Amino acid sequence: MFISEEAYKEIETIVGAEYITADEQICDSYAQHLFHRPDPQLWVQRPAAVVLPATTEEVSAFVKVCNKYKIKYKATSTGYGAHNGATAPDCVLVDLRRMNRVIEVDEKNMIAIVEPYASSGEIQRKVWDKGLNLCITTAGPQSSTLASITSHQGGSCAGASMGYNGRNLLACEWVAPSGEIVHVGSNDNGGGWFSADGPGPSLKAMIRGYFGFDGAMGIFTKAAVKLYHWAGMRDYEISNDGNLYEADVAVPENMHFYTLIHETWEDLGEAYYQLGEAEICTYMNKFSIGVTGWGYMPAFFEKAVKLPHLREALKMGRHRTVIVVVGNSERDLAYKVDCLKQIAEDTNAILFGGHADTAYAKAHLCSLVKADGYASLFNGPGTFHVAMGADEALSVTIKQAQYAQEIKERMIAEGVTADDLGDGAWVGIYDQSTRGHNEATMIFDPRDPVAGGSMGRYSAECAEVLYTKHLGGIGFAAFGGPEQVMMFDEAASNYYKHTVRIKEIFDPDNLANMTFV
Amino acid sequence: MALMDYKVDQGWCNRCSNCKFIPSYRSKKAETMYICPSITRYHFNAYSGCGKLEVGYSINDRHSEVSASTQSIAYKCTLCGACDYTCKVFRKDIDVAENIEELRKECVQAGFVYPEHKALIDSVAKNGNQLNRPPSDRIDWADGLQIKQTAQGDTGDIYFHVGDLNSFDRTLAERTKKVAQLLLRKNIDLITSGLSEPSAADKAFDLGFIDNGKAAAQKLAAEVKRSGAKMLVTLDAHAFTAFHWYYPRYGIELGVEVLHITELLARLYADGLLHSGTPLDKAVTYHDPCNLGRRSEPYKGEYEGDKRRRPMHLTRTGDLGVYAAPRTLLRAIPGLTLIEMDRIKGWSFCCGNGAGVQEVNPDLLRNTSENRMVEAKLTGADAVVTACAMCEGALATVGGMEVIDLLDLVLEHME
Repeated sequence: MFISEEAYKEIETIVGAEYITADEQICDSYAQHLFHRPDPQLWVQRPAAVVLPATTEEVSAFVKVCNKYKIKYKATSTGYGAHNGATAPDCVLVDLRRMNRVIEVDEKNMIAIVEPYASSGEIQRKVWDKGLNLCITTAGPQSSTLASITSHQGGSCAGASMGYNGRNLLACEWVAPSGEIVHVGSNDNGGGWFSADGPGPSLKAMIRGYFGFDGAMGIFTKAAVKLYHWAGMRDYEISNDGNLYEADVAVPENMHFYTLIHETWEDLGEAYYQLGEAEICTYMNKFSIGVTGWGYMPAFFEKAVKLPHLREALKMGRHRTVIVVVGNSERDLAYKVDCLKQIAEDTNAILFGGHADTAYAKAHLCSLVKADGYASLFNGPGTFHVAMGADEALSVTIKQAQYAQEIKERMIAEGVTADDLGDGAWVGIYDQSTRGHNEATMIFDPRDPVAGGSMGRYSAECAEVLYTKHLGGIGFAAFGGPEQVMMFDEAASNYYKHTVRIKEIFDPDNLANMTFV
Repeated sequence: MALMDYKVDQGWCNRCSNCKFIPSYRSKKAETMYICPSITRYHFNAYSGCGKLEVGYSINDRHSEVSASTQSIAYKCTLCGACDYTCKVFRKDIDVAENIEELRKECVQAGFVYPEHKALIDSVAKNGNQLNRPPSDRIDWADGLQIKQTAQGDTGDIYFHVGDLNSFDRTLAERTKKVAQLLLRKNIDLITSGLSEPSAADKAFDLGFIDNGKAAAQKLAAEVKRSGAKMLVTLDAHAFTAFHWYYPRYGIELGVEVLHITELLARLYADGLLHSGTPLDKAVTYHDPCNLGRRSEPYKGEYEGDKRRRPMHLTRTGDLGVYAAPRTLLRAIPGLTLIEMDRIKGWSFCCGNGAGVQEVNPDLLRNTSENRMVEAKLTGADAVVTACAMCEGALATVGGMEVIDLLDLVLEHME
């Protein structure tokens, strides 16, 4: 055991013997992460122990014990990705699974107060009933909303109408690295949960920043998430027993699904500016046909790209954008659809869709509004790496995607990565604005040493091109490892240096380790 | 197959946690989003489907060895298959439930065996049942019936398999007798082994004692062959899974079509041989037993290639469990209203009473059955109906709502 018996016993007294373990196999079940990491390996550090606190008070007492004995610790919830792993042999993982309540849905103020393990899907269930919705990131509905808004990035297909998820953090309850329980924002002195920035202490910029600390800045135990108006479905009426791709969901008349296909990046970029300006998308994202094909029909796609004529035909559809339009009234819906048609015409696009009444439309619509189904993307070669990912001006993110495509096309030609037609970009807009987000995706087989090596190369080349071409910060390329991160520090206004300084002030012994910095 | 054969499956897991939840698109209520009884009770990730994959990988990758800890993790599980079912919505290349079966086999091979389980398995060879009960306790449910018996050298069309539990419990034995009477009244050519019915040994397979299971299964297969039957119909859902999954997987051929009793009754109803009878003014909800549902999907054979490219007809999804027949029978009862729970069919939440949990982890049984009964009560139904004696027992123990076996409804309200 890497922590002393004395410390272990003190923690055991806090959470109860049933809720702490140093068992090597239980700890190993937190130490394998194939996703979001800088190498094609599986193992991360085995934690020294895992604790399962049930209350804020237990979390606070635990953190104080960690300070007393200088024990490293890290908070995790649904745990999707290597950034959730322990960072040192003496690190205790704090699994927040027992704190899983949706405490309150405040309809009037359009906020929900949640605990760390309340899943996004569960919260959505509760708020849909009240005509409200929340931003669920592409981690999926089984992931933690609190983790997303307090601690990790925040891009999603909902970003067009519901923004970057880090900005959906309102007041929160935070166990600081000292163990002190701090009510951040308006909740201090009982002011309610409506704001992260006061009245009351405004620490959002420090404890969350832009990217979040991935569970390494104290422990967030409650948070209020901003909710949005929702005129879409309040329930699913599934009339058969099929899975997501076969489910015959009754979609209300005011929900439309469209596919927009552009031939060039330039036209696509212009269309996105117009989509933002028109404020008509509830959900939108660029879903390359390559990534989708590998995910949902890998056997077919693997064969298809080997047939030159078919490959060329598929490439015609690779700049594919999927859009959900929700009408607040018949006139509102008609206006939005008219706008979309005009944008398609202005930008030389193929547009098809309408009321989501086909299997194709229903499956995509369900995927977007519930963020379900992304786990299927692992069906292809096995896993994927995400490079770039910094949020920038829309034109910059489009440029990023173009460079990523060039890099990928070279690698496909060399035969060192799966052929996804070159374009693996997920691009979206935030807040119906000109701010964009691009994730440069590479699907690969982690068991294949050539493909594994290619992943590292793709990650590095994407970072290099961002740096040399001045195309923004590091974003998801944080998963490329600390060297990549620090390469961008100056270009990103010393963001990471400031991050480290903030950490030093709040957590001078660096007990809550960050994964990649 | 061995645990090492699943190293690729284990390594593919992306730790997405979908194995812990009903997919969001399928879930109706926030309260019923969880699907795994084990992690619902024990919380540490190791108890989830993905956690057990990672424990398996840890062993296979020599990070740890099979130990008492492995045993605790592997058996604090109802082996309900829900993790596998929900994972397969997204992935076709990971066999989550088979990994758990292999963990159990490893435990047995390494000598990590609970005495309570050992007693049950020893009882199969010693007493001919997996309940650790003396043969003298077996109830002669066929007493007084004009039913063919293998012991008398008879042969018949349908081998009437009763199962251990139905042969040792007075109430269940009486129900068994009534079901046999109903079938005989329909002029079905039944044959049974009565007091000498060999154990199906489903528990031996569930608990990882494969050699014991195979030995017992061979005896039953020989008995079925001796009966001359073309079909086997069983009243025991756990045996039903064994016949469909474990037996063919381990090379035991029964050589006959295997039906659950609800399937046979639904066929009789469809053929006009069974009719609606006395009305029942009652609202019920139906609990899908795991071993009549997703776990009972017929064995599809092993796929030797890369599972990422495994065709669907060789992928065990759980969709081919028995979901329609019980509902057909419920709908055939006049006056009865069926109100479905949120978690039904392949998404059914386990009752907790399976795979050796009752004997060594009663807290898991209690926690799981209570969870299921909360959901049943949320429907507002008057009663919960099920089609497995193990489920019936577990749910009835929780109380607060009437629990009815489907066969009792058929016996009282169909003719």
